[in-house]
Amino acid sequence: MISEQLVDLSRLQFAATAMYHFLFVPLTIGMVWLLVIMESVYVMTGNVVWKDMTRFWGKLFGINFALGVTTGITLEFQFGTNWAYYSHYVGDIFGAPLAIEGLMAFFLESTMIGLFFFGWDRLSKPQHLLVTVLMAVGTNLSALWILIANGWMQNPVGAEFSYQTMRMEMTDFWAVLFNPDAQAKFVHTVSAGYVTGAMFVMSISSWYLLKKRDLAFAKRSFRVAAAFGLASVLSVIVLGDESGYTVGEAQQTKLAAMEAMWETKPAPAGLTLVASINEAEQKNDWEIEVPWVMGLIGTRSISKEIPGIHDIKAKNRERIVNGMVAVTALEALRTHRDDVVAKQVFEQNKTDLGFGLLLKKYVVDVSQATPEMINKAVNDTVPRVTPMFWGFRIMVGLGFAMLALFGMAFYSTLKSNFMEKPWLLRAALWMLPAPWIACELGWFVAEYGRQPWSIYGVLPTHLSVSTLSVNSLYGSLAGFIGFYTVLLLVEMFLMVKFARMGPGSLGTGRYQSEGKSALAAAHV
Amino acid sequence: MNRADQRLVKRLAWVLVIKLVLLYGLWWGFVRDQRVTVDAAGMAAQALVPGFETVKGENK
Repeated sequence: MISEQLVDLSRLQFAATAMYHFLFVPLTIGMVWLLVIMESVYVMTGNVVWKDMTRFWGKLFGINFALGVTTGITLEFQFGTNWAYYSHYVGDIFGAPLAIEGLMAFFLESTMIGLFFFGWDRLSKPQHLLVTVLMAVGTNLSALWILIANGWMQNPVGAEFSYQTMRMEMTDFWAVLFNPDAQAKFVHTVSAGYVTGAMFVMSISSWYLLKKRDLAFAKRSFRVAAAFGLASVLSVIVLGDESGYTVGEAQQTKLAAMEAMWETKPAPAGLTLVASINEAEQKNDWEIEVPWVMGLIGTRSISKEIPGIHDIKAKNRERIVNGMVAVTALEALRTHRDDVVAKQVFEQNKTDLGFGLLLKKYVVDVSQATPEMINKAVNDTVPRVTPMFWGFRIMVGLGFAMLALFGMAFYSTLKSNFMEKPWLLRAALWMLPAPWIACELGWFVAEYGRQPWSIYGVLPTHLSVSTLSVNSLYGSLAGFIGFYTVLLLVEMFLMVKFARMGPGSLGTGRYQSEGKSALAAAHV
Repeated sequence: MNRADQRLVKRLAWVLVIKLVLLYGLWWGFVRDQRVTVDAAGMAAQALVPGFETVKGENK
């Protein structure tokens, strides 16, 4: 049987690299639209401060892009090395959006980024604006294809298993493309990126305002970021609600774990705000609940029930037993292709094949599984509740805190009195890490909540992993973490350095920090 | 492009080069030899009973 240490290390390596990668990604996704807004105003008004804003924030965007680019490639290494069985089993479907992303979106984005930075003196104003818009489109298309691939892992539609090739084969490309999970995930994730970009610009602008430097530049940047941030954070919350609904439809175990919902409650279920979770006894010792809300979010109705963990496990037990029949029939079919009875039995039970394969963690021959092994497999079907419950709540809490901040900031920009509110500027500065923490927690909830599956309901994680040596995994894990940590430190060093220099680093002669920045540049 | 920008471009170019070298090093050290070939028979061996042989002439 496959070593649990191997599975855990492969998961840890993928999680670590993905989480590092996503420190860079949301800022790129979000800032690019702020650049579009700033440059559009410049093209429309001809006011050069807007060009300076585009160039300065574009410079920070460029640092982030240069440091972040290729950090995702190690994830693709791992599909081949650490997840070879996964790649065989679902590569026909999963590979398609990844390939399209590389060919279509990444090349568009990269080409336009080159033109953005080196085209200021070579392109007309509208041409350069078009480049910036295409750069934004490319960046967001890139996210779209990646999230279509990820959405399929959460809700594998438009495909079916072939016993001849022992893999999933695509039956409907459009179903994969318009997978509701992927679409909800895409809009939710890019909106979170927009919030990240807005918070970044607003925080640094607040610092300039607190320091009373480059005020015309900083005030405009603050206004744009506050308005864009408010619109984005509202989108994140509304689209997060849609994401919650799709999770409730396709991934009941994830929803139940996020809500620490052990028992099926009468419809419409209440939303648990906080709870003392007792995993050992599979119950909440106490909880504070808001009536109706969870039922409305999860089912969009007041009459549909949301199943609790105990009921889900009971259903999963049945599916595991059916899955054992499917696995046995598949073995028979693999030996005798013409076995009509085996084929019929397999066809009847193949939707539960993945559940039968969950037993491979405990027994070599699934048909020999004992009731105790089945119990263990049933328990595996629901991820640990405590990290899901609190991870989700911290993410949502940060989302609402950012809504309050952007709301107050936007209101103050309407009243033109944000300069008189240093507490607001300080709050904006200190909230800088919030969107990154929320994004990382969002991914944690999405991916940890998918366990024990690599493809939800289809392929268990422990069967996806390659049979590598544990030592090589320790080596590559250490290498990746070292590599990413260095990149992150360089990113932070350059970001802090150029943020401190401010628009004076453009060398236009229009900013009060000019002297300092020129001096600093001379000593770099 | 002013002096600070030129220095930034140079630094970012170095970062990109070092990144590519490091990525190549990681690939060379840990990925290159880790070839796990999986076909239908290999997948069957992983997911079904080990030692379980597939029929001859199967489409891999």
